[in-house]
Amino acid sequence: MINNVLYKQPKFWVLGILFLALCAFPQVTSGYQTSLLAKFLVFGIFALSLDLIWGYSGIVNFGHAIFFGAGAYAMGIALKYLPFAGATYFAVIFAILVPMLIGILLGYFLFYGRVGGVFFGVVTLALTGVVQSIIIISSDLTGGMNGLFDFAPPKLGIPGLIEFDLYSPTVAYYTVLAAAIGCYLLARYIVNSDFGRVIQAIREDEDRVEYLGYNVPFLKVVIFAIACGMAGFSGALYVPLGFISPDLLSIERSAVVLVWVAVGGRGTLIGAFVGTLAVSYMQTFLSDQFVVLWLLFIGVLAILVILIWPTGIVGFAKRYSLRSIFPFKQS
Amino acid sequence: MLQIENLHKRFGGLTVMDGLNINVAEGETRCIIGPNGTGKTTLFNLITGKIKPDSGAIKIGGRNVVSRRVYEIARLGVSRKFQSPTIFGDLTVEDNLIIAATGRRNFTDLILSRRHGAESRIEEILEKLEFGEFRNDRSGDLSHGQRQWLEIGMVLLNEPDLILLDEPTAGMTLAETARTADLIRQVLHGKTTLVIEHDIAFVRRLEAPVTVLFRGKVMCEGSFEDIAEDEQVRRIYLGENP
Repeated sequence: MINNVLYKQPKFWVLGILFLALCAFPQVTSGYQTSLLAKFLVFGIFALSLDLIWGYSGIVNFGHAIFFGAGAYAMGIALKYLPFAGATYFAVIFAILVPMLIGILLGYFLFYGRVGGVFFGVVTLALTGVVQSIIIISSDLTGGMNGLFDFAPPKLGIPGLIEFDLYSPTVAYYTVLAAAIGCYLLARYIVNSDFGRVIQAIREDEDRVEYLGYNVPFLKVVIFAIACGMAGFSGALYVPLGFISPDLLSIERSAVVLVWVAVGGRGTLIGAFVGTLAVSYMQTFLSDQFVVLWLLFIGVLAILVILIWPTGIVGFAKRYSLRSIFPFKQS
Repeated sequence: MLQIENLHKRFGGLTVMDGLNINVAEGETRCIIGPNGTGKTTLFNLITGKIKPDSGAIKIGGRNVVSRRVYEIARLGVSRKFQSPTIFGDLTVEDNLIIAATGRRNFTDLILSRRHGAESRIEEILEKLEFGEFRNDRSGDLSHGQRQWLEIGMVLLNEPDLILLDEPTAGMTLAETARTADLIRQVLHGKTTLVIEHDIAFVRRLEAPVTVLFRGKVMCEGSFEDIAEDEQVRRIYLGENP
């Protein structure tokens, strides 16, 4: 029976092989490569959270890095001020709740105030500068321009019994992999639920949805808060892999995540990961080869993809189907 | 079911509602006709809460709704079909119907996809509209007439007590118009319905009482035959010079 399913569904084959390859990755590559992929998977979760609001709800957010950065800072600050064992778990929850709260506040005023489309984007863009300045000014708490570094190392496992140091590339990698799969499944559940249907209908025609009896601003705040929480979670996962500094909330980071989602294919979920990995690896490769010009290449690539494949890599692959690549698929 | 009392609305210097009074009984189908710019669509915007009147009352089931928001009025059982088909083009036919069928649910029901038996109602509508084979198609790819019917289906699934149809046959072929009239008579039977329509053949086929609006007021009311005989109506609306 299983064979039959695999025979009919090349998707299962692809996913199975991909999963095994991802699990085996740290065993066959260096620690550097492992943490690099872990970092890109964290960015993938970040991009996934943007796809939930941009791809599915049509909310344009030019300041999504705020929530990534808020998550990372919340994690770092919690680790610094919570001295007990097992603090990592609380820090992660904190790193989800803080961005969520910012998202709810922002969403409440903007969505209930009927600020939508590009105007919402402009407000979030401006907010990036505001939040970045607040972080730089509050240097006692955040370390200011120098960044935040003197916090306890994040650890997983059961305190006192068995502990895993997240600074180990392998531990970080498997944690991030599990988190990425978890977030992907959660996002999939959300978009396939009736709530997800309504969210997509809001993207199409907000007014029409309201005439059917839905409280549109409330539903927008909810999806926005979920996306902000997920972005914060990815920020928390970034802490063992990178450095907490005001750069995390930069306009560049907000822009590049838009590129990742657009290149991968917005409104597809998996496209967020595909786009992030494709662009990030290319960026790593190009920035080694062309120290100055690499950004130009990435920009040109983004423009080309959006012009030639407006639905991104995944949209393109869906349209032209995997059939030609996998001839064993029936009918 | 619907009582509109002394409704006034101005847009700047333009008076669009000038003391309008309309009473629609429970289960009645009422046609609203009138020349262009006479406030027919504005009337629907006022009833659904899209715009607020300057004065007057709109009572639905005895409750004055003028201060309520659009979704709250929708939850009281008011369902509206727009002039041009307003559906969610990127979603499938079935998804459109699911969304329409479940507008009054709370958030927990939405996230858990609990539909409280709406599936059977959706199947019924798919069958009535003869849409079974299109259910998984992108609704934006349907023909104009089919999109109009899909929206009528959505309005019906929304469990309305009061249905507002704004030119349900706009842009339809003669055959489609005839089918729409039959559809409305068949599926809307016993539901309180307000229909704005320009197509006189359609109004006749609907066999419903007619209200003629003119400059924000009711000019006259009666059966189609009475209205068609009325001198004043012929002059302002049917385009006949006395």
